[in-house]
Formats: sequence, structure tokens, C-alpha cells
Amino acid sequence: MSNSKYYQLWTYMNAVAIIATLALLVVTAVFLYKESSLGGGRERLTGQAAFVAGSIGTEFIPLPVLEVISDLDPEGFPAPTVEPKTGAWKGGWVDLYGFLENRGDEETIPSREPALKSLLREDLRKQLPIGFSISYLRPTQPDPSPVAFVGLACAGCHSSRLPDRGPGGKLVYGAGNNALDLIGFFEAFRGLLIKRRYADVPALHATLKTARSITEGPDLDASVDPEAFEYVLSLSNVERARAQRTPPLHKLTTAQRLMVWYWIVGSRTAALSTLKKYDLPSTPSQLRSPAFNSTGPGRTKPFVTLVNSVLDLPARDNHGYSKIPAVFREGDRIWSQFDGSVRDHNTRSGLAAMTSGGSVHNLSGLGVADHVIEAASYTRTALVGPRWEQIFGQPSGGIPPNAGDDDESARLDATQRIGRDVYRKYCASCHGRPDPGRPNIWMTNHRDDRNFGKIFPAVNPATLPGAALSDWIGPLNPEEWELQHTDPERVAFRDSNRMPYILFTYFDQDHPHKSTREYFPLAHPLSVARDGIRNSGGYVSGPIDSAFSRAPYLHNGSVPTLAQLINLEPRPERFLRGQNAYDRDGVGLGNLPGPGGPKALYWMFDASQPGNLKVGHHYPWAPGDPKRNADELKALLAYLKSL
Amino acid sequence: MPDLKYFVAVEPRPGWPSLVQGTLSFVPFGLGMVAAMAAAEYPFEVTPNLRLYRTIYSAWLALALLIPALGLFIIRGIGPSWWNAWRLYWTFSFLAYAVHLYYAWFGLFESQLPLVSVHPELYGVGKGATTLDLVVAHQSPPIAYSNLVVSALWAIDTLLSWLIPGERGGRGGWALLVERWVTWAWVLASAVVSSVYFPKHLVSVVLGSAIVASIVLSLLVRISISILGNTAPAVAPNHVSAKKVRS
Repeated sequence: MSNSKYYQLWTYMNAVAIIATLALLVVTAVFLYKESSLGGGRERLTGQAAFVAGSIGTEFIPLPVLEVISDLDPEGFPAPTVEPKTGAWKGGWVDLYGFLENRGDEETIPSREPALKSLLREDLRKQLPIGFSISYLRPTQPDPSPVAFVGLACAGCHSSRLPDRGPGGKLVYGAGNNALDLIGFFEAFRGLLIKRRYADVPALHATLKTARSITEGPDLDASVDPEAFEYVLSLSNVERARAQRTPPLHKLTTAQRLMVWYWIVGSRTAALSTLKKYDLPSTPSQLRSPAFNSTGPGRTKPFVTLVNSVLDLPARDNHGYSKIPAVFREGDRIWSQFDGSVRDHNTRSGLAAMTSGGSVHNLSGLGVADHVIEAASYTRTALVGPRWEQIFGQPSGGIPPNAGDDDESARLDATQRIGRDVYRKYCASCHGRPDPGRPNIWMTNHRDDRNFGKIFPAVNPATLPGAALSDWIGPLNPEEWELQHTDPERVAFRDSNRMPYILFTYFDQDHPHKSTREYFPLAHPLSVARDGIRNSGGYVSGPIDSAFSRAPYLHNGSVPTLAQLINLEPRPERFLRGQNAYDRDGVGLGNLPGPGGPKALYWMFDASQPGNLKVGHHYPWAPGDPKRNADELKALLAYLKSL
Repeated sequence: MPDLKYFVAVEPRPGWPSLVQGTLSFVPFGLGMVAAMAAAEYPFEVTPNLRLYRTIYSAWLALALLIPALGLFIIRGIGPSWWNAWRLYWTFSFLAYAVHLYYAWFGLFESQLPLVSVHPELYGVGKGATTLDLVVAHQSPPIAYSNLVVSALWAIDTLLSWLIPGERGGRGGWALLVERWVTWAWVLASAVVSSVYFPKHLVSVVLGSAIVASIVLSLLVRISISILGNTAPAVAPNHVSAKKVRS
């Protein structure tokens, strides 16, 4: 070849390189334009709508996949039925994991505001359980998606039907869902991501056709080719399941297919790469056993998620359980959380969203950060718990609810008035009291209630000389502390002392000692001041309005009823948790299955296990106290119903 | 004593870049930009965030293209090829920077305005804050305004490099030469300070250090040329000097 031909070839090669690069740039530009035109976080809900239906960054599954999740994994996600009138899902996995089915225009407490009402009537959300959110945001990202993703709004955990989940149960926004097995649900979901089944269907291996966990994989049968196993969750399986529905569900667009595929690959990669940290997910049948799922229904392990995601540690020995709390009157709390560890309510809600899958990035974005702030504001200013008569249709005492107008004394019967005296003598100094003239106001600064909002230490103050917080209740003598302190696991786990500092740096934009790889360039809307987050070493004494709706009791949910909490009745060593019936006499969870589902859905709470201790808080009197007065306790219980 | 004229004197002989020069500058820019945009989609980082990581990756690309651009500036007077090479890398590094600026300004800051308007206190700004207020609050006034000035200077200088073929001896005269040196120095300082002095990632430190190294190398070349008196390296055959064009 002559020099001129080499030169010509070289020229062509250069031209091709330039044209190809130009073409790639054009394709990229078109892709970016299309991507930027997607919805993303443009929905901005406020107040109650944000609390019930707003995305808080917990997106975990595309809606088209959730719609056929039972077809993919009927063991982990039994098929729900569809309510013909509303199209809502009920029963099946909705019931198994304790979610609340959507009952259309039902009565709620507080009443649904118009914005929420129309949203739940017209939106895709109408088919999903209460508190599920839909957004066009990708999981953990503040970025738009062509396919709808489903997450949990605040109401997903903080809503319940009272007195129980039966047909007469009233939906109460803000009450903790005491039947919700959140850990179990997400364990089953993690299982779905890595579950495999035999792709072929020869008769010889017919038994292997059902989905299996990877521990039951091909190694059990040497004749089975490991390559013949496929992941249960794949784009083709999702599309096949959608097509096989009667009538078929809508076909996915190319962009949606791409997004679902991307999500499957990313989620599975994450699930597989974190197996060493989390271990294999429990199988659905194991999830009802405390040996595999030590949290159980109605509770979470908030710090496990934070240790997992922020410290990148397994937290296997963390037993810091927390019941899913009611979030009424949060504005009355100077420090949030059971342990009074976070001062700012926005940060509190942001951290709660983080424990359910939010990230520092998507929690800063539009359509998420504003929902977190709006929902926090709703719990702070507008969300008030129900009164007894709203739930049960009759007064807690002998007086009809409207007899005494706003005067508390006029609404209480004689027994309750005695109980009020007992309350004021033994309880009000820590928990505050209702305003006698304005029953919707909780007094947080009564001159006699000096310990309101203070911390009762759960770690022994004698072991921390000089380290006591200024708002610890005190001075406490060792005997009193020994008798009254409750389970310490939530505040005394291994990483508890460094966790506040780590979380502070997590949201702090420029902290030089940032311990995670996360980098956030702006002032984070959920950031917290260093003195606004702490390990309190104990539990905060807060308001107990609507006390009857806060069952079970103590921060770890170890005491089912108020009668047991005040030691009118003995506290049980073991009791069933799940869809319990409501015990009106004892005021709290009954130890019997409620009308919600079969006994198989129940979980045994063992109060002797770490983190489950039912000890402490022996007010007014400990069980063996010679001063214990059963009549006064009964009167106190009657009064507590009225709060 | 080195002849200082080599540091300021640039003959106006730009001509048009050769195809090879175009390939060597445009292809890295183009492929780098595609990679920067696409890489943000992939969860290399703990949490993907398209706008943030497109901002970061396009900044890395701009830094990478500044390595030859800032170095070539010093030796662009050697001949038309060098001048064109500088102009191409200068242009494409600016385009990469423009993408970085776009994602930072509109993607990171302006996209937060709806939330800022409701809760300005969370961002340390007042009511009715603008994107500029947000940028200033985040970067501090000296850095924010410096960045804005250097962005404008860089854009103008890039444009002038294509509109006015030359510096001292061209239509721009001394004013253009001064503008060019000021822009070069400001871009250099901004790039090195942001990547090395305020490092966010090891990659930016490496790129910033490479920029410094390229400057040092170019200075050595320029000094050696001025000492040895060799100012006429081979010129690519398709280059036409400005002198010829004028004649």
C-alpha cells in the first residue's frame, strides 16, 4: 500500500471516529432530554395527604412488579383478592404482613381532608394498602423514573384500625400499626430478589418448579444442572405474569421495561453483595418464628438499619427493639423518639424514612424532603389521637361524651375522678396532664409536672459518674433506679455512643470527618445541629393522650395492656402478637386472635429475651409493694381510658 | 537569561485544525461526556444521584481536558499546530465545564428552589432566595463570584479564540493577549484550588496534580526552546498560516 493510501485510510479512520462520537453524543443528548421530561418528584402533597400518601423516599419496588408479586412468589407473597367495588387489594400478603387494606371512603380519625380524599379515590393508590405511596422516583435516588415506584408513606406504619382490624375497625391516622410485620415483609422481599427456581419443567423435577430460597438450590440434587435455575424475579417473568392475568395487565413501554430491568439488576446485585452483612433472608415460614425474626409484628429495630447502612456493619447482636409508635401531638415533645435522642422533628422523620429505605440523597430531593417536612409538621401541629368514645361509640365512664362540654370533671364519672387524683399524684409529674378546661390541649408545663419531657435513664447512672444528662430525671437512688428502669437495649447497644455523631456527620455537608462515602454538596434540609442529636441513655417521659390507642406499652411493646402496665394485673411472660383483638377491660391488646386472620399469622412475644424485657415503670406501685391499692388502680385505669 | 518573548509572543497563525487534531481532542471529549452522563446512571457510588454525579463526572472531564489545554497554552506560540491544539482542548474543556456548570446551577441548586422558597431557614438563605443566593450561601461569596467571573471569561476567551485568529499581532492586540493570560491564570487557579485544595475525591486530586505537572512540563519545554533558540517545530501539512492567508 502506498503512502497516500495509508494517508487516505488514516483520514477515513479519523472521520469515522469523529462521526461515531458525534452520533453517540446525539444519542446521549436525546436520552438526557427524554429522561429530564419524566415526572420525578413533581408531586408535592401537604399536611395530611403528605402523611398518608406522600413519598418519603422509601420506594422499593416498581408498581408493575408489585402487581404480579404473588405470581412470582406465591409463598412469600400470597395473592390478595381484589375488592370488586374499589379495586383494592385485601387478604393475601396484605394481611400476612399486617398492612391495612384500603376500604375506599371509610370513616377515618382524623377525617380525611378533601385533598387526600380525592387522591385516594382517583389515584393508583386506591388499590394499594393504606400508607403506600406511589411516585415516579427511583429507589434511593432523587431521580425520575418512567415507571411508578411504590414505597411506604408515614401512614404505612403509623396508621391502625381500632379497636381491631375487623369490619367495625376505624382507621386512625397516627396510631402505630401493632400488627405490621415490617421486618418480615422486607425479609420476604429480599428473599424474592435472590430466589431461584428450576427453569425447565421436566416431570422428573416437577417438585422443583416452585420458587426456592438459594439454600434449597441445585446442590440438593446432583442430577440437576445448576445452570437450569433461573431467578424468579426477571423482566421476562414479570411480563409473562402480567400477560397471563385475566384480563391482561397493561404492557410495559420500552422505557418502563428498561427501568424495571435496571431495577432488577441493581436490587439483586445489592442483595447478593450484602449477603455477608445480612445473611440469607429468612423463608416466609421462618418469619413467624422469633428464632428467625426476633422483632415480630408491631415493632422495628431502628438502629439495626442505621448500623447496617451508615456504619456498614451487620448489627446481628443489636436488640434495640421499638414498637411502632403513635405519633400524636409530637409538638408536645421537646425531644423526639422513645429515647429522646433527636430534637428536630424533620430530622426525626427523615431518620425514620432512612430506616425504611431512604437515603441521604433522595431525602434531600423535591417530592421527598418536602413530604417529610410536611408530614412532620402534620404530626406536630394537627394530628391528635382518638378519644375512647370515637372508637367504641360509648363513653369511657358513665357520662355521655357531650354532657360536660369542655369541662373534664363533668365528663368523668365518680370512679374516673378518683382515678384522676391517682394520676395526678403518681403519673402527671412525668407525663403531664390534659387541660381540664380544654380537653384537646395537653399541658406540658404545669408547675407540678417537673419531670415532663425528661429522661429516665435505662443505663445505670452509677456506672456513668459525671456523664449524666442535664435532663435526666433525678436525683435517683440506686434502689429506685433498679426498680423502675426499663429494657436498656435500645439505648445501650454496642454502637449507641457513636451513632449520634455519625448521624450528625451523615447529613452535614462539609464535615471533615465524614465517616461514610456519601457526599452531599448542599445544606441538607434534614440536617441536624450537633447538640440536636444524642444518646440519651434512657427513655423520655412524654404525653400519653389517647393512651388506650397506644397499646402495647413500654417502648419495646412488652406489656400488652394498661392494666398490666400499672400492675393491676400481672405482666405476661409470653403472649401472642399479630392481629390481636382489643381488650376493652384491660385496655390494650388481647391475648387472642382478632378477626383479622388465622392463628398462623401470630408470633410469640417472649419477655425474657434480650430487648423484650417487661421490667420497670412500676408506677404507681410495684406488684409486691405493701402500699398497692387495687381499687385506686382500677380507678386509674378507668381514668386512663378517658385521656 | 531565557528570552521572555516566548512567553507572551504568539504569532497569529492559527489556520484550521487538522483532522487528526480534531480526532484527538473531540473524541476524548465526546466519549468522556457520554461516559460522564452514562456513569451517573450506574451505582458506582453508595447512592446514585444523577444530577450530582453528572456534575461531578463532567467536572472530572473538564479537568482532564484542561491538562493538555492549560499546558499547551504556554507553548502555543511554537507553531500553528500547537496553537490549534491548544484552542481545541481549550474549547472542549470549556464545553465539559459548561455541562458541569449547567448541572450544578440548574440540577443541584435551582432544582431545590421550590423547597428553599418554603423553608429558606434550612438552607441558610432569606425569603425569596434565588439560585445565586443559594450558590453564594453554599460556596461563600468569594468562591461563588470568582467561579462566575471565570466562567464568563472562559466562555468569552473560547469564543474569541475562534473569532479572532491571533493575539498580539492580530486584530485583538495587547488587550486580547492580556485577556487570554488573565483567563488562563484564573482557570488554572480555579481548577487547581477546587481539585487539590478542596478535594472531594481522589480522582480530582490526581487530575489537579496532573494539571500542575503539565504546566511545569510546558514551562520546561518553553524555557528550553528559548534557551536553545529552536522555535520552529514541524507544522502539519494542512495548516495554513495566518500570514499566508493575509497575503
